[in-house]
Amino acid sequence: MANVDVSQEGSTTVITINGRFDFNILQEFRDAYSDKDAGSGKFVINLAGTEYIDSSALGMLLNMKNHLGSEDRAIEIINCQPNLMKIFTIAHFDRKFKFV
Amino acid sequence: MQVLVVDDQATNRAILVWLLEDDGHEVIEAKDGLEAVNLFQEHAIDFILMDVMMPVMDGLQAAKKIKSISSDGNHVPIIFLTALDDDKALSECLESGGDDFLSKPYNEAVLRAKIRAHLRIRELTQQINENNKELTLHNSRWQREKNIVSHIFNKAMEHNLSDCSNLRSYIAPASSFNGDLLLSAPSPSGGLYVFLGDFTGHGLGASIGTLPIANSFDQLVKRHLSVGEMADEFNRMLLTMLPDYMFCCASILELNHQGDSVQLWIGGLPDGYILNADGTVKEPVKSRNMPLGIEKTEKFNKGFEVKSLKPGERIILFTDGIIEAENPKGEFFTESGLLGVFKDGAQDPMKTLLAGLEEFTQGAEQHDDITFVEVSAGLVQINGKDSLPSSQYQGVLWHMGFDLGVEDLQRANPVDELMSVLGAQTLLRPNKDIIGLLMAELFSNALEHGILELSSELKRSEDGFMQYYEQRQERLQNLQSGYMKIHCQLIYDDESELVLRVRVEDSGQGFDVKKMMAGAREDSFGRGVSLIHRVCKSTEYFNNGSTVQIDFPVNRTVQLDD
Repeated sequence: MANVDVSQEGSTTVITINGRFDFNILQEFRDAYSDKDAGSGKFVINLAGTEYIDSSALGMLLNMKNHLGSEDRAIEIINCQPNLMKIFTIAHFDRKFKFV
Repeated sequence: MQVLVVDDQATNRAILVWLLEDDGHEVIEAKDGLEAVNLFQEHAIDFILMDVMMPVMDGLQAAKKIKSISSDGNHVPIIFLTALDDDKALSECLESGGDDFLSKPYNEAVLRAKIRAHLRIRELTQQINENNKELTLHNSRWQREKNIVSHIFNKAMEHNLSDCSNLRSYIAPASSFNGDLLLSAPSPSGGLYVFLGDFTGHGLGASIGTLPIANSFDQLVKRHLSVGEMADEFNRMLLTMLPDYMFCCASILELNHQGDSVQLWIGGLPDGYILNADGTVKEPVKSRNMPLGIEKTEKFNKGFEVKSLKPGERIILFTDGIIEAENPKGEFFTESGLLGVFKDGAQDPMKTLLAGLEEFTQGAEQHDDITFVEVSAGLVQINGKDSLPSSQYQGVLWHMGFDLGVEDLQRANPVDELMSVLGAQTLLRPNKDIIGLLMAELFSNALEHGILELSSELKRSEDGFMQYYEQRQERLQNLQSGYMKIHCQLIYDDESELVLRVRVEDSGQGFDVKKMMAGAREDSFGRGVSLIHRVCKSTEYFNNGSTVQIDFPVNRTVQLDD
């Protein structure tokens, strides 16, 4: 099973992450957006199937934001489970990303 | 058949005896009513032919006596043979307990026909009587078994708080066994757990499934599982136990101690509602999952919703027995009927709803189990007391150590294995996720910066970030020597606060902690370290950074705001 699924819905790129979100999927995650920038459209990270995140995931998300040159809260994170939300909140990620 | 012939005239008796014996009956003779009564008691008589007028005791009296002493269900037909033929005399024959009469002189063919007819009735009566006996036996056996089963169910249903200021419920099973299940228990952190379930069908078949859930509920509560994990456990249990066509629609809810936040997992039950303080509907809470006992464990979604509650707000949850309640015309109460009740608000939503339901059904027969539960916002109080367990920790102050060698470090996720031990500690469960993160960060810092001597500087650029993890992979694979010692301890700190003290020592050269902290904060690296600082009471580095010790306050809720 692929840990990172990318789907295109119109101009929106949806990146779905299954299982563990950490440095082990760094390459896959980067491939999902590396050929795009903020002008390519909207970006949505779907965490419905994500069980675990750590600080490397936070770093990967920030790298993505920097790479795309997105505004604060332009990238949406959807279906974030409460236990993961705690971690995002502790890291103040709600300022950088929009949690839906 | 044994026939009793009663006549004072020997010739009359002789004719009957001849006739009856010809037909294969065995005949006993009596010359008056009294003798007949005595003989009836001595022999198992099937049938009586009785003269009316006789000395000592006449036929009418004898018939009365015989009918009164013959046991219940033993119907012995009496046919009067009488010379009388006025209507009054004949009706007296029947009133005295006789079953038929024949006027003398009688026609033999008619007498034979009557005897056959009455013996048929006797046979039928005997059959009915035997069936009745059997039914009575079955019924009393069923009653006995029902009593045993009821007792078991009642014991199981005792997992329900009777006096909690935040919880009210209405339970109305459609039969003596309930396929609905309502459980509640205080959570280890002073909050409240509620389980509402509705098994397919109703009656005994449906209620069987309630037993395993009721029995394991307390255990899961003690482990302080999230409502999603709890649903997963129940799902697993029901998958193995129930036949395929049976499942359980359920809501699981945990209200926190302050009573201002609730975790919800709903699978297959009708929408519940959050009501404003004035009793109007604020928002629906919807089922987002399959009912329990259907989805395979691998596919089961442990996710749940979190809703915050303002003072005065309540959550109402119910089984479909309410919206499918019927009125005498066979119409359903429906969801809109239910919402109509709250349209103008209600001081007491539960009372208002039940009144509205009663008004609608007008006493029509209830076809399904109905359960309604109301959970109100506000500090959770049980038996009139603040439900927070005393802050004094009652358990032992344990400590445990993990010595990780090269091979352990190279394993996929050593921290997961560590957390399966730590996470089982009831005291740590409420903060399991945070502690897991903490352990993961401590582990990666020690491994990456200590043992593998990777430089955070690399992570400044995006390509460097990539390189960093490539180097990590490479160096870890080629690691020849090195160790990490993780020591966890439950201990009271200098301020007498109970903390989880974690000390991580690695074989590396240490690193410049100050420099690293300065570069932290908003950047992509050092984030792990700043996470640690945010959730821990104290963080100390020793041996030039190759040993770190943190104190995590176990009884505090992690403050997520600034």
